[in-house]
Parts: sequence; C-alpha cells; structure tokens
Amino acid sequence: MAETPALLLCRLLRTPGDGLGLPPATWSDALRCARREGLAGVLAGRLRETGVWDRLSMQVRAILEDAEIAVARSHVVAGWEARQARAALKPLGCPVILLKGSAYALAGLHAGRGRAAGDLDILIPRSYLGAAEAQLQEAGWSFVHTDSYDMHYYRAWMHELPPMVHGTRGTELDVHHTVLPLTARAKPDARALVRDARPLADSGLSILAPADMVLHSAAHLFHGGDMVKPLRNLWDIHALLTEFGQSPAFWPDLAERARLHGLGRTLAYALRYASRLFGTAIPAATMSEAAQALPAQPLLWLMDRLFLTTFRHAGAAEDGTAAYLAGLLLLIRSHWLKMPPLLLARHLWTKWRRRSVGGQHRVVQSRTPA
Amino acid sequence: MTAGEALRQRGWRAMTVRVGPIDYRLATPVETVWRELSALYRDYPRDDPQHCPEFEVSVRLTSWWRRFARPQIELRADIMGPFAPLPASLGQVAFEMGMNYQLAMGLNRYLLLHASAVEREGECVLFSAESGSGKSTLAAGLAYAGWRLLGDEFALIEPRTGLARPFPRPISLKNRSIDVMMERAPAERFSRRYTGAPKGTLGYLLPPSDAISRMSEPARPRCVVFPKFQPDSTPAIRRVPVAEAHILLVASSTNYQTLGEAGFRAMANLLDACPAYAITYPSLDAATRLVDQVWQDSGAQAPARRRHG
Repeated sequence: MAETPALLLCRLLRTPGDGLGLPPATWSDALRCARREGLAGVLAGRLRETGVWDRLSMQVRAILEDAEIAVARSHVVAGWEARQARAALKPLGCPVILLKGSAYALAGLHAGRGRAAGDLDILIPRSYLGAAEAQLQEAGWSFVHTDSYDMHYYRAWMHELPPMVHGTRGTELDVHHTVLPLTARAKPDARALVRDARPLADSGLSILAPADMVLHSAAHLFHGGDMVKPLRNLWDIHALLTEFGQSPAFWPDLAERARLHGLGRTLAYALRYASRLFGTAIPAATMSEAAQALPAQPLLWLMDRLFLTTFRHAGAAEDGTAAYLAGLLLLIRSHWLKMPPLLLARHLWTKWRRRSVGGQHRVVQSRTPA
Repeated sequence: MTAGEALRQRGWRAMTVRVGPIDYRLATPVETVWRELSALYRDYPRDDPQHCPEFEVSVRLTSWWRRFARPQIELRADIMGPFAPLPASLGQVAFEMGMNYQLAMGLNRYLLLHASAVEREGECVLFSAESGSGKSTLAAGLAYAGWRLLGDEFALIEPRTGLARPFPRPISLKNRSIDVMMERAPAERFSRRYTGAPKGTLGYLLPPSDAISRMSEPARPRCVVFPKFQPDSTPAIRRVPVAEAHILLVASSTNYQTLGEAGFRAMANLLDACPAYAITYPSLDAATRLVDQVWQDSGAQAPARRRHG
C-alpha cells in the first residue's frame, strides 16, 4: 500500500536520515501532517539529535522552527499553570500529580521534547475533590459547563471533575481522581497511582510512577473515544517506553502494574502498535507476556484494521471513507468500554434529546465528552 | 503520490503559490472560484517544484444538495479556525481569510504585526491600526504613488535582524476605498467586487508588479505610524511615546506572546530604531502629505541603534 503522510512521518521519526533527499512536495506532506498531529516539534527534535538538521533545506527548517517556538512557549505556560494550581491546592495538603504533556515537560522526560503541553491535567485523591473544587474556584477557575446534566454526568460517572477554565488567563484545567471513567469495566487502582507517585524536586508537584505513566498514556489512547492526535499519543508511549526501558526492572513492573489496574489488553495494544509504527525496543519476554491479553482471532484482525487504519490516516487533511468508518467503530467501542449498555443508552438518549431541543446546548457540546 | 497530485487526480484544481517567504497550496474543485483565484495570483511565482508548500487552504461546496438552491462554500485549512460557511460567490474571500489565518496562527519565525508597510530607498514605514481605520487604503494609495508595497495586512519583522520581510498579497479594499483606488490604479489590477462579505463589499487590488517581483528584498523599518481616517478632520500628526507605541503594537501582534522574550526584544529594538507617530486625516491625499512629513522627520532623527541583545 502507498505510504500515507502519517506513515511517512512515522518513518522520519524512526530514521530521520530518510528525510535527506526527499522532494519538497513530499516534505510538505510530512510537515503538514506533523503539524496537524502535534508532532512537528518532536520531528524537529529527532532531526536535530540525529545530526540531520543542518543538511535540511532552509524552508523545511523554518517550518519546523515555527513549531519549536510554539512548543517552548507551551512549556513555559504549563509550568506557570501547574504552579498556580499547586498554590491554590496547597492549603489542602494533598498530593498534586501532573498528568500527560505537563508532566512530560516539567519532569524533563524525553516524551516532552518538542511536544506541546496543552491544558493542565492533574490527579488528586478522590477524597479531596470537593475541597479542591472550592479552592480552585476561589483562585479564579470556574466550570465550563453550567448544564445540570453535563455536571451530573461528570460527577456521577467520570474520572474527572467537569472541565474548568481560568477566568483571566483562559487556560483549561482538568482535575482527575482516577484515569478511567468510574463506569468503565477496567478499574484502575487510583490509590496505588497516588501512593506510588514520584515528587518533582521542590515543586510540591508529583508525577506518576513510570509504569503508571505508560499505562495512563495507553488508557488515554486505546480507551479514549475520539482518537484525537492518535500518532502523537502513540509517540508519547514510545518515548516513555524507550526512556524508562533503559532500566531492566521497568519491564516486569510494567506487566505487574497492568495486571493491578486491569489494563492488560490496553498495554498489549500499546506495545503492539508502538513497536509496529515506531520500532520501540521491547524485550521479547514482555512482548509475549503482554500478547496473551490480546483478543483472539478474528477480533484481533478487526482491531488491527481499525487501529492501523486510524494511524495510517492520522493528521490527514481529508477523512477518507475507510478512516471515517474506522473512527466511527472505535468511537462505538470506546463507549462500550466506558459504560454498561443500559447506562450508555440512557446517556445517549439524554444527550440526543438535549441536542434536539437545541439552543444553548450547542454552545457547549464540543466540550462534552460523548 | 503527494497531496497535490492526489487533489489533481480527484479533479480538483490546485496550485502552489509563493507570497513573500511563504508557499501556500491553494485548491478548489469549483471552477468559477479557481478562475478568480488564478487571475488574482497571476503575477506570483507558481508551482515551483523547489518550493515546499507550508500551508494548504481549500474551498469547496458544502453539500451536493445545496448546489441547487443558495449554494455555499466552506473553507478548510491546515490550521482550522472558526470559519463559517459563505455564499458560493465569495470563494475568493474565503481563500484570503484562510491564508491570513494560517499566518496569524502558525508563523513564529517573524514577529507578526497586523500592519501595512511601504518601502522607499531600502527603508519602510509601518502602518499599524485596527481593521477599518484605513491602513490598507493608505498602503494601496502609496503603492500606486511610487512607494513599494511590502504588505497591506501583516508586517513580518525578523527578530535577528530587525528587518521587515515583504508579504505583498493582493490588497483587500472595503466599500468606498475601492472607488478611491479605482481613480489611482489601472482597472485590470482589480478583482470584481464581492458583495455580502462579512465586512461589507470587498475588492482585491493586485499590487504593482515591482512589489511582487522584488518580494524577497527586505527593508529596514524607519518609522511606525498609527493612521486614523476621519472624515472632516484637520490633518494632524502626534509623536507617540515609545511605551505607548509598544503597547499599541503588542495589541496588534498575533504572536508576541508566543515569541516570549524574543518577541519583546524584537519589539523593543524596532521602537528604539523607529520613532512612532499618530496621524489623523480626512482624505488619502492629506494622508500622503502627512506620511511625507513623517518620513522627513524620522529621517532627521538620529535613530538610536541600541539593541536589546
């Protein structure tokens, strides 16, 4: 099959030297795909660390530098936002654990290199949720939703408070108490996530333990509904595995934590596709142990088709029919994983009715997770 | 097969066009829109295989059934924004909006000022003002009176050198400005009029051909001007203090925040080298005279060349 821009991008991330001698029009496809996927800064970093950078055309470098500047700025903002949230929550004395982009950036992990940090995501123990909400509102954050059903949806069933936005800075904050919806079949051990979190030097902030960080990233990608920036999220997993995997003790720990959190199959998908698309070095023993959690044929064949189609067409300007269908099926699957069928039916019924009543709900619907 | 080839295979029309330092790929399946687009960009370098299209902007019909009654077009671009569908007759307006948006949201290698700029003897005047205050008309008038147009919408300031890079897109004129310019520029340089656009009637004026053929020649900023068109006013010039000018220019920049310290230094260097003026004028002729005065005055000032790193 023809190499799509997304697959070309994967190849360039793996072996940046392949970029030398690419015709400008082909570079254009890869760069624009990388920009839409949020991987342009990462690609720039890979080209630099492999010594390819200086041999690229001025134009290619200029386009990548634009992304690097934006990423650097996002890291400054992420640090500021994290410190603000920490200051607001300090009186509670609870741990504040950074998740995803902010964690990678502020902890100086490889996964943060060239990767923009977006909204601030934090995890705190569930028992502090009510007090945290009050403290954050005091400090200027308020809820995006005012709709009572949406608020109820988050509070009763989700793994996070409804999204908050800061009144003057306009930045978004998601406060999590676990990493998957409460209604999901997999039940990660939130207490263990908090207990084993690692402090970030002198900041009063923490990050998840290495294995938990990988599993959260995998749960985000393979349980998440809309597959936004799928390649970027898979790259996160690859970068985390590559860095943490330097320590041999990491791999057995990863398998054990996956069992603890009930995320065996999620991990299996993560390892399978990261190694396929990015050539992640994973010990054979870990790979074969994880693979036991994969579904049997023909379901595995179907899942491969869905995920690989999604990755192949990641960051595409146009959704082809195949990519659209794969996205739709994965969305249905994510709902199936997220909620028991009766609850899901009730939820969709409520959303549909509210939507067809129209009016104000349309304004917030883009931020509603279902 | 590259994306451009794929578009053509689907029966779309597509071109790569260079404006200043930026290559766009512009594509549409709508033949009428394509003809207007091709005509408007006829003088620009096109389809050079050595160029790497940086942003793709396309315009298509929204849905097949609308084609029969009140057809609409929609804008798609690499960096998507809040683009509302427009009547199909406004395809060119959609392209111009989309091209501006890509630059405003995606370009960080220059300090981007929402400003028009014209050059003479290697130096340039920057006109910074909100939409509707006449900066495009002023730049257009000067461009057809011996100045070289650098751009009517964005000034691109290179942080390292402080130079302004030309970005001479077709000049966007609104409502009465079109008539004002019709008296000063050849008719064949104008697009048709687009009525019913979000800001009223729009027309595009191709810059004089030397503005396009010399678009890789940068210019050193000599002064900053905040123009204000005000009917029945007495022409007036006021010197604007550096701090005030800095704040006004920050408000006009789309990427000052993103550039962080580099943005601050570029802005501070710009305003150390360039005195700033506010001008109020009742007509284009009055404005031209004021700009000449400002030009003389700023040339007489010994520009402080102190640089902030």
